[in-house]
Amino acid sequence: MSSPLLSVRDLSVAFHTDDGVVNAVNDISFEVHPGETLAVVGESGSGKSVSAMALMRLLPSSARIQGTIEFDGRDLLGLSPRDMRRLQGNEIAMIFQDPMTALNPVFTVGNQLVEAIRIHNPKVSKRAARERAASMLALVGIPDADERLDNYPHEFSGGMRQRAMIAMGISNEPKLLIADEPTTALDVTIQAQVIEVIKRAQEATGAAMILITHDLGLVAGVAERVQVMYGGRLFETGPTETIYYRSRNPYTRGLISSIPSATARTERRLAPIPGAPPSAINPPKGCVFRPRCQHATDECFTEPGLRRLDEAALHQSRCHYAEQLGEMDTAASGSRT
Amino acid sequence: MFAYVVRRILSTIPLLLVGTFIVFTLTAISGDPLSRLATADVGEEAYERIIELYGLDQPIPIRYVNWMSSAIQGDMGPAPSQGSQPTFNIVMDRAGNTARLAIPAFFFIAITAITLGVYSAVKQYSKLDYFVTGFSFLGISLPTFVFGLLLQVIFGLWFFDWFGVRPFYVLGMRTVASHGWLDMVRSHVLPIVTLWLVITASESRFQRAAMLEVINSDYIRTARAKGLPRRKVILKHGLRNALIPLVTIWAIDLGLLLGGSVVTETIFAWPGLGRLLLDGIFQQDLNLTMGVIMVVSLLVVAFNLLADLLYGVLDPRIRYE
Repeated sequence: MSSPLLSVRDLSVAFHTDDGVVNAVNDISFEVHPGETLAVVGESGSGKSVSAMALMRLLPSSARIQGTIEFDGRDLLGLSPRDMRRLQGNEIAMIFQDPMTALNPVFTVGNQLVEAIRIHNPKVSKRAARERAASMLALVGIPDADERLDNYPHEFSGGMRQRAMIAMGISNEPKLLIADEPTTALDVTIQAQVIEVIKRAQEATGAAMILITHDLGLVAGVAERVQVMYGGRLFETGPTETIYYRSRNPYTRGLISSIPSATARTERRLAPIPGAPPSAINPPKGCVFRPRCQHATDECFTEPGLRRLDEAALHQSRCHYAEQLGEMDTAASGSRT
Repeated sequence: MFAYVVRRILSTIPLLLVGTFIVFTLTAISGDPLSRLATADVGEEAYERIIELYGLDQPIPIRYVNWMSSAIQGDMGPAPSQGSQPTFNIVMDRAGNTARLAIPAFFFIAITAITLGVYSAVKQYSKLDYFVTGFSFLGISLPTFVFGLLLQVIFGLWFFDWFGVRPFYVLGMRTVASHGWLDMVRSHVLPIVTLWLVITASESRFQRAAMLEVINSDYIRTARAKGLPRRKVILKHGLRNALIPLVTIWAIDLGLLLGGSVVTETIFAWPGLGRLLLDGIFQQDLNLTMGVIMVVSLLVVAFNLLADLLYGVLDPRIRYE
C-alpha cells in the first residue's frame, strides 16, 4: 500500500465552555491515501465536522487540539499560521455544508473564484485566473460559465452555489478535498447531481477526498472506505462493502437499517435508533452507545477499544461483541418488529 | 434607479408637509408673540401693525399655508428676534457655522468608530475590547454637556493654571481680532471633540455588533479556508459586509449633526443651527423656529435617501427598480 497522504493519530478536540469541558473528538486515528475517498459518517454531534475543521485549522482558538495530523510529510498542527495558509485552499480545500451562506454576498462569484486562484498563484494574471475560473465553473456543470462569473451569489440557485463552491475547492488542484455535508442543505432532487459533480471534480484533479455526511446511503458508489463516528469516537472503519454488508458494530447496523430503500420487495418499517446522541460534556459511562444499544450487557460499562477484525486491520469496530454479532442480514433486512 | 430617486423625493413631500404643519401649529399656539411688546411703552397702532404684518389674526391653517407658499419660494419671512433680518439668510449663515463642526466631527467619528468597533469585535473579550466597551458605556450614559463642560474646565481653567496658556478657546467661534487659521483651529477643537466623543461612543458599539455578526458567518470561514491572510479576511470580506447596516446610522447621524447640536452649541456659545433653534423657541419667533425646522427636516430626509441609495451600492442584493 502507498504511503498515506494524510495520517491522523490520536486526535482529540475539546472546548472549554461555561457548562464544562466538551470533548467533541476523542482519540481518533485514521489515514487517507492519495486519490482515495474516505466517507466519515455519523449523526450531528458525532465529531465528524469538528475533526475536519481541526484538519483545516479552522477551529476557534478556544479549541484544545491534541494528537498529530501529518499531511504529505508535514505536521499540520505544528505549522505556523503563514505556512498553514499556504496549504489551505491550495493543497487541502474544503467544501462546506450550506452553500447559501458560504459565499460572500457582496462579491461576484468570479471575484471569489479568482481570489482563491490568485492568493496561491500571485503570478497568474487576473485575466488568466478568470479564464481558469470559467473553466472550473464549466467543469462543475454551470452553463455559460464565463457570463456567470459576473453574477453575485444570490443570482445562483442553491445547487449552483454548491457547484461554485466545488469549483473554488478544486481550482488549485488540491491533494485533499474535504467535503463537509456538501448536500445536506440542498433539495433532495439535486443531491445526487452534486455528489456526481464532486466525484467528477475529484477525478479531474486526482485529489483524495474526505466526504463527511450523516447519510450512509449517499456513500455507496462514492467512497472506497467508510468510517463511522459516534459520540466523538471512531466506532467502525472498513471498506465500504464490508461496512454495508458485514458491519460488526450495533451502531453502524442501526444506521444501515434506518436507510429507506426504494427497492425493498417487502414493505418494511424503517428502524430508527431509539434515544438521543450522548452529551459531549457528560458522556455515558463505558461504551457511549450503551444506553441506546439493544445488545448492551454489563460488560459494556467498560469502554471497548477498537478491535481489529481482519489481518490488515482494514476493518475495525469499537464493540465488545464485534466478533459475536450475528450475520448482517438479520439486522439489515429489517425483519425485526 | 432614477425613477426610484424621483419617487422617493416625491414621497417626502407629504411627510414634510405634515411634519412642518405640526411644528407650526405647536409653535404658534405656545405663546403670545406680542407679549414681549407689552413691557415696552408702545401705542395701540404698533400692536395693530405687527398683527397685520405677521397675519396673527388669521386662523393657523391659513397662516401655515401663507408661510409655506412663500417658504418654498425661498422667502421665510423676517425674524423679529434677529432685528427682522430675513430668516432664510440667518438660517443659511448659521447652517454654515454648524457644518464647520459637523463635517470634521463626522469624519473623526466614522474613522474612530470603525477602527474601534472592528478591533474590539476581532479581539472580542480582550483588554482592548473591555476598554472600548467601558468607554462606550461611559459616553452613552453621560449626557453631552458633561463632556463639554469637562473639556472647558480642563482646557479653560486647569490648563491655564498649570501652564499659563489656553491652547483652545472655550467659547465662541471667532475672536474679535481674528488671527487667521490658527485662531480658527483653537476655537473649533473643543466642540468638535465633544461631538466626536459622544457619538463615537454609540457608533463604535453598532460597528462592533455588526462586525461580530459578520466574523462568525460562513463566508468568513470560507475566506479563511481559502488561505487568505487574516487581515484580508477581516478587511475585505468582513468589513465590507459589516459596513452595510451602519450606513443608515451614519446617514442619520450626519443629518442630525448638520442640523445642529443644541447642547454642544449652547455650551460652547457656537452660533449654529442648534442654538438658533433654541433662540427661536425661547423668543417665540415663529418664522425663525420654522426656518430652522424646515432646514433640519430637509437634511434628515435627504440623508435618509442617501443612505438608502448607498445601501444599493454596497449590497448587490438590493436593487432599486
